[in-house]
Amino acid sequence: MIDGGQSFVHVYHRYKHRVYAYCYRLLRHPQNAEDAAQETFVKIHRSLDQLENAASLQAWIFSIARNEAFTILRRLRPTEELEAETENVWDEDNPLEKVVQRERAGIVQHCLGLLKPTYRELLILKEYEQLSYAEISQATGASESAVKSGLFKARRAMRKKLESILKERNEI
Amino acid sequence: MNCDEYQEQVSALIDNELADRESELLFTHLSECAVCRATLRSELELRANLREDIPPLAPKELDMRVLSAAKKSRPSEPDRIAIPAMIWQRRFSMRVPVVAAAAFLLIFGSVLLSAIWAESNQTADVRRVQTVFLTAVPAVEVRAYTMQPMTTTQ
Repeated sequence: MIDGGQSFVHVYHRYKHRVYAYCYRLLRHPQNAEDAAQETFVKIHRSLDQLENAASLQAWIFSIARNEAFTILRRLRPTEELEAETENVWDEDNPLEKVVQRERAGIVQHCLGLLKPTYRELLILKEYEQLSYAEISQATGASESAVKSGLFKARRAMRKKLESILKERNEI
Repeated sequence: MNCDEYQEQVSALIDNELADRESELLFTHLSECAVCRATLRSELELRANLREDIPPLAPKELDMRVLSAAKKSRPSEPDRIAIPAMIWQRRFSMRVPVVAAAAFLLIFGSVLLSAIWAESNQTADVRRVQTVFLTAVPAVEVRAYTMQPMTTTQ
């Protein structure tokens, strides 16, 4: 069990940049990311002393951040079925033509932003937060095999999109 | 396993999530399959590209927003204290002001009673010291000096 007083401040300073970056990469909007991060830490503060297993702190924090970020995403686009398991891995709302004006790293980030949120979050949790499959499973509520398969699909989709964009860009 | 399944294993391999036996089988396949080797290369390249991105830092305003919100919602100091109740061999609690008022009344009442009692027993030219131990508040000792005609409390 973790005690809630001073340790909250410690947890906050330890995770604030990671939680903000996670929310930012998922939401692609600084103010929304800040709101989600704030709500995340308020919830952590309320229930930190109830966390039984300190070893699962990281996964627990990201599961809270995920809920907050997805709440904002749902509010922004209420019709989107975030949890639907579908082969359509792309979020079609963003205009593709903006992509060709960016550098490679920017293009990668833009592709990540185009990916459906459920796939995007898997890549963010794995590539940036470097969580294990077990931790991602704990944070997202998906099974470890679903995490493994989801990451594979997300990467394949990213690769295909990147290849086509870079090819298109070279042709311009 | 077909190439699609091996490519899923490639994804797990770069995540360091494959068991030894699975890795062995995958490397055997990779040694024979150029398509899956190309997948491994592009997976690694994608990872490198993704990790080129510098993570955004939390703005300073977040500190103020979070820490002040946390301060507001911090549980306040306990306004109740536990009092051991010997009679029932169990604990019960009372609000701090109630305890303080009860203690004050007890002390004040004891001092008053001891002063009255001392006054009724005093002789005109003998200075007597009355000591009253208040057993309900064990740490408090009240001494009533019954000097003429004043009573003081230390």
